Amino acid sequence: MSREEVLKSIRTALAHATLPGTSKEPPKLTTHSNLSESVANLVNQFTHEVESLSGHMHQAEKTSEVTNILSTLLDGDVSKTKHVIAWDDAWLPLPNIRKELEASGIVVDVPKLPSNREERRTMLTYLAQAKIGITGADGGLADTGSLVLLSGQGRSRIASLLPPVHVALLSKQRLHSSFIALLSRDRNIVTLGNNLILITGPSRTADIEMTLTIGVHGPRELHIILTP
Amino acid sequence: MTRRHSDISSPVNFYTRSAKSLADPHLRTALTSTTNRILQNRTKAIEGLQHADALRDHARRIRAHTLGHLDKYLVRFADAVAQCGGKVYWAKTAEAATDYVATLAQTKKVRSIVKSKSMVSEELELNQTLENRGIRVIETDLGEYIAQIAKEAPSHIIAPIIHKTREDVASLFKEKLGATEAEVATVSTMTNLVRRKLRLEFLNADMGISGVNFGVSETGSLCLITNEGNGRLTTTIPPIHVALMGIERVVPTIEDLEIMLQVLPRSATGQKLTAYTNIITGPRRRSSENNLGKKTVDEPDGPDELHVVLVDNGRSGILGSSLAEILYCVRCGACLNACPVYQQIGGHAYGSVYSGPMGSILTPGLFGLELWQELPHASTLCGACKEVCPVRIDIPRMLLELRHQATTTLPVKKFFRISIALYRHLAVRPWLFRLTRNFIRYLITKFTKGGWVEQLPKPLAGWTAYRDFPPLARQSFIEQWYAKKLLD
Repeated sequence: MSREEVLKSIRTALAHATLPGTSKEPPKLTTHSNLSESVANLVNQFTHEVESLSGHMHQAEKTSEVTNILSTLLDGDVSKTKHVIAWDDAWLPLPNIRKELEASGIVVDVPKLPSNREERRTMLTYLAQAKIGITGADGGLADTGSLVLLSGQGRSRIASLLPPVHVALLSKQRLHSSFIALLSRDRNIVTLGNNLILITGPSRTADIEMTLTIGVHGPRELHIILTP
Repeated sequence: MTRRHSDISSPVNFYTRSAKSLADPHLRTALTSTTNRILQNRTKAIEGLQHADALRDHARRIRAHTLGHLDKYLVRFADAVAQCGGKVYWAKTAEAATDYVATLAQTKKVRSIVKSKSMVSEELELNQTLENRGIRVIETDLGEYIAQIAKEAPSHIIAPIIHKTREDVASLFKEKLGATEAEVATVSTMTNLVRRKLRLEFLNADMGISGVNFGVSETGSLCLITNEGNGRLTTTIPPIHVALMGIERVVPTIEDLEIMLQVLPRSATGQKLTAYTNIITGPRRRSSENNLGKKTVDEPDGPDELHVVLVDNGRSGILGSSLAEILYCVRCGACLNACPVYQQIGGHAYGSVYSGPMGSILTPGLFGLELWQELPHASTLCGACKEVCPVRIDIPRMLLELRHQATTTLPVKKFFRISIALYRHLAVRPWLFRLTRNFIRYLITKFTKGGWVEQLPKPLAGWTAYRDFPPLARQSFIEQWYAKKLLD
């Protein structure tokens, strides 16, 4: 077995390995960052960080305000059908978003990919034409301006990935000061879905001459709508 | 598209390759400005981090502890991956790893593969194996894609085409992709062109291959740190995801991962976090297959299969050697940027996929000192690498260790052997040493012009090829010492 072969070489090496600073017990961190902050402070810090990463911040208290923001973003779209992909309404912090968008003539897909390889490819090619991806968020991290999105039923990974514009609805109550603050509240979040993604600003690259370019393979625009 | 890997990744002659780099002023301009810009960003980011020193110390302790119990943490990791539905393959050698991936691709009738950046895959020369078996492989990281169509190896572990200017890229796109002037007008239009081209590749791919920045032992999670989004597409769109992971990349817990996330992006690019910190725990979950005993889920997307290939390929050998500390490396690339030698010669001169200070230890460690004995000398031992390393690896110590090993275990050039023997003969006989010194002092005056020695005859000509020397002092230190003593 290749497993036993690799483990045997590791154990042989460990019998006489010199690893500077190693310890028998897992090391413990003695300094701790501030884990709790007021919501107002978190909103300020989060907003500052997101905007410094060229993300856009919005506020909304009612569903109609969200659909207004989305309509404005779709206005520049000249294609015949206005097409978005979204998370299921159950996972968005404001009700009936899908219903209201559909009422104004926008095609809303809540995707679920088929298993068959060809069908899957066909559906992905269709979904890749959507202009906006609408998602909720399981958390926001104030110190880095990151969104935390967990995959699951009704919560596709592609909604925040395929369309050129990603709009995330984030309840202020889900803001944390940092990733470690979120983990100290609920460390099991990591394994609840097959994917936990921290999104920090729109997709970017600096591969050519260290020149920052926004929007490579992922969304080139990131809009975050803060809700109560 | 086959990379000329074996041409580039070969220990031909470090001196020949670095001389070539040094003669290229274009390359040196690109390198100097880019490495300095990344370094400034890194400094700013580390300065902005609270308790930066304590965090780096802690990150180092996590790496040291994990490697000290690597067998235990790897077994736990592999079990956790399997428990959430992933398959784990343990590869002792490069051949075993590439054969597993290629055979899997053939069995699953894979025609086209998209890859996100993975240094391990470069190390294994995986693309060659796949292409030899008729499978199309496309690199999707912007820099890696450019390197692939230029048929070059990446020259920096974080910034693969650090050696290219925007004009280089523009003419490459015109030549290889038939791009128009408008499409290559700016960095932004070139990036757009690649987005359009590669989007089709993502949608058509049957398999995605990625690297792994960290594997979390307790949960079996894979963490991938990327900026462009190609890493997410590679691990989300194709129905099969294969992740290549060096056996040293494991961390015990999710909290340990969080510490690494604080130091790695800051050291690599100066970002607090990269655009996407992607944590993957198993393949797409379906209620019918779920046996986790938790709430059933039916996920709408993600790959149906996840394969994790744990790659040893010489790492366990390093673990048992005096170079074990290099396994603490988190591949941030900061030591490359800080190294005055790398800044001048760039990554290709090292001849290995791992270049710069960390590469000068890792390469001989993985592939043998005999073929790579020149690399430990590609350093001034200034210690800048150790200074910027997020986990404070003592790189200079190991470079010296490798130099020592080379002289004690490998054949040494005749000229050096005779010279050193001669020097030792003189150095232990003070009267002979003084006599010789006086003779050389006299001899040197014959080559001195205007107070400088500008040219020495062979075999010493190399010393004066690029610089002038002052002649030997009229009075040596020891002569002055005695003269002063007598005066007193």
